[in-house]
Amino acid sequence: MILNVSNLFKTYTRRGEEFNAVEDVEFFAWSGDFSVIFGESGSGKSTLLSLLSGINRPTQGSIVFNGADFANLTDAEISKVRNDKIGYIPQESVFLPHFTVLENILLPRALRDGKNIEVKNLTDSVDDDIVSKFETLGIAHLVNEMPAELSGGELKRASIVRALVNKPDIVIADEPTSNLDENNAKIVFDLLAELAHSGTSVIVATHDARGFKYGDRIYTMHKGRLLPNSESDFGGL
Amino acid sequence: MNNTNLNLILENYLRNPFRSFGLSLLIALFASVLLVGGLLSFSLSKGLNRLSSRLGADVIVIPQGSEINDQSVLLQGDSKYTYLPQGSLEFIRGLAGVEIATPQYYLTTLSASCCDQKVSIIGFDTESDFVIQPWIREVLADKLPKGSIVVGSEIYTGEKKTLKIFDHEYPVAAKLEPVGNKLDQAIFVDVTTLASIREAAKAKGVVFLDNRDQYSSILVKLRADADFDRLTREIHTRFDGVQIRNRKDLFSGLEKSANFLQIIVWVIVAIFLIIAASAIVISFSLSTRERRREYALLRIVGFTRQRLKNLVLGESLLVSAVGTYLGLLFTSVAFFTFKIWIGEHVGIPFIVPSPIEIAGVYAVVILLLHSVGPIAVYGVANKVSKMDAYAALREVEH
Repeated sequence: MILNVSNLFKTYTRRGEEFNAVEDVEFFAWSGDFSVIFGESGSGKSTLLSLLSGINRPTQGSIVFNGADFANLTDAEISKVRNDKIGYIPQESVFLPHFTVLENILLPRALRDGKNIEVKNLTDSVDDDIVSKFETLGIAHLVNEMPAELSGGELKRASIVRALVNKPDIVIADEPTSNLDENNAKIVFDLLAELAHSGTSVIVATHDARGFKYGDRIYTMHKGRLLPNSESDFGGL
Repeated sequence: MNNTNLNLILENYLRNPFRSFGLSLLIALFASVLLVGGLLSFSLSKGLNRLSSRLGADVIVIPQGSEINDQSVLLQGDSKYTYLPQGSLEFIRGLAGVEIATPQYYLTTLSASCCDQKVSIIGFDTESDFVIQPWIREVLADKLPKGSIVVGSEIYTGEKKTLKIFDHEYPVAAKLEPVGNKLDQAIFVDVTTLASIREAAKAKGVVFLDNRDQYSSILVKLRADADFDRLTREIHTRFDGVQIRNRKDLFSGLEKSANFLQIIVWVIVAIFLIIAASAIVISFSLSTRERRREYALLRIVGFTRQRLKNLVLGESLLVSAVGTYLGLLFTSVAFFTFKIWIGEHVGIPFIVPSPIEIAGVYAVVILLLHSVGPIAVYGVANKVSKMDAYAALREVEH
């Protein structure tokens, strides 16, 4: 088991009243799993993924990744895990505006290896596996552009490659097909399925119905609670 | 700090030139003000101290109507072509409380081969002088050779170490340490050599009064128990047309001017410090708000909170460092190019510090300015390091 989540709560205060964005979540993931989480907007999917990726801290409960409880790790240790072992794709594409797309994509690797960010050439910078992902996602010709020159869909695909550049053990994707057309959405799901097939654990939160086809495990999130699809009354969409 | 951080700091600076360079220019301006302030303040203090240490006389007696130049107080008056009444030196020497009294003779402001500017020739009496000779002894161990002259620090003597005055060459026995005033452009001679210069002038058609009993000024050293007011009364009763000034009054005025100038300089420095620090804080606070998504991204890809903090501090350090060196470079060129002009126009003794002292001023300026940016943005950097990355992402999303 790569990820073991139990009794997970994340509580926020809104207008003076507390509410659970994530409530009593139990979740497990194994290498090669493709887990898909459906749910309405505001159901807590993004909050759950932010907790699983380690950029957000739970109010209660435990997240054990590769045998290490996040609660017992220092910020430096969690940051290292996030850099090296977790590929997180946030819902909104975020880039360093003054760096090229390629430099943005290689940022996690530069950080891991303690190297300069500035890179000039795609093929000299990354191995064939990553180059093939650029090509698969149709952004190989855009790598030397600045982020502001790319469309929302192109940025989304670039942020997917960035999450994969350090070959993580787990990929956590928040709405990876938002902003994408039909064809590109399929390409992204195919790529994620291929990753899972090769042993990476993949967790996707989505509104995209294609998720049913690709997911090994389907969950629905409702008012902060995560339910396996068989127990769900909401059907995920 | 690893390469990635350093590279990110550098690239952020270079790829956002408008903001980075704008802030650096502000720091450069502050560096200029601080460096000029530091050097000026140092130079003034040094000039005052040097002048103070040169002040051998307690009282100066000069002809009525001649000016006393604060720059040269109690070393040199400015008697032009007026002289003290005959018999005044002997009378003063005989007064109660007078320890020594020595005459000085001036041939004022004439052009010489040495300088573009006019120079002053100051003649002193080797027997009684207690003001000029101690100063000369600092650079000339032996007695001043006959017919030789001593020159101020700003007089160029050439390789031959001679100076041509009225077509007559005089060997230069020594060059004095600078005092930061017009004495640096003066020539010092004993009365015999002064007579020779008068002869040379006469041959060229320039006539000076040639009377050893007519002095341009008399410098007086008092005993500890001397009564200055009484001495003044007695001289005025005996002679008309003289003015008597004491060291305390003249020097305190000079000190007040120097202190006032230093206060102005440091007030300006303080104002610039506040402006520069405020601009950095405001700029970094605003850019931090704009860059919350960037910081969130850096957290996502594995930046620790400490590393984010170092990034913000590092960027402010780079802004400060570039500004500091730019400012120091331009100001150094300007200051050392125009140091003579500055010295002439500040109106009080001004001596450019020694290389070691200058290095000290630079070190302080560099240290202070390198810390302005990081200290100013420390609070901002802390805030960034504690930022909730997920909340920052959601602010954009919703």
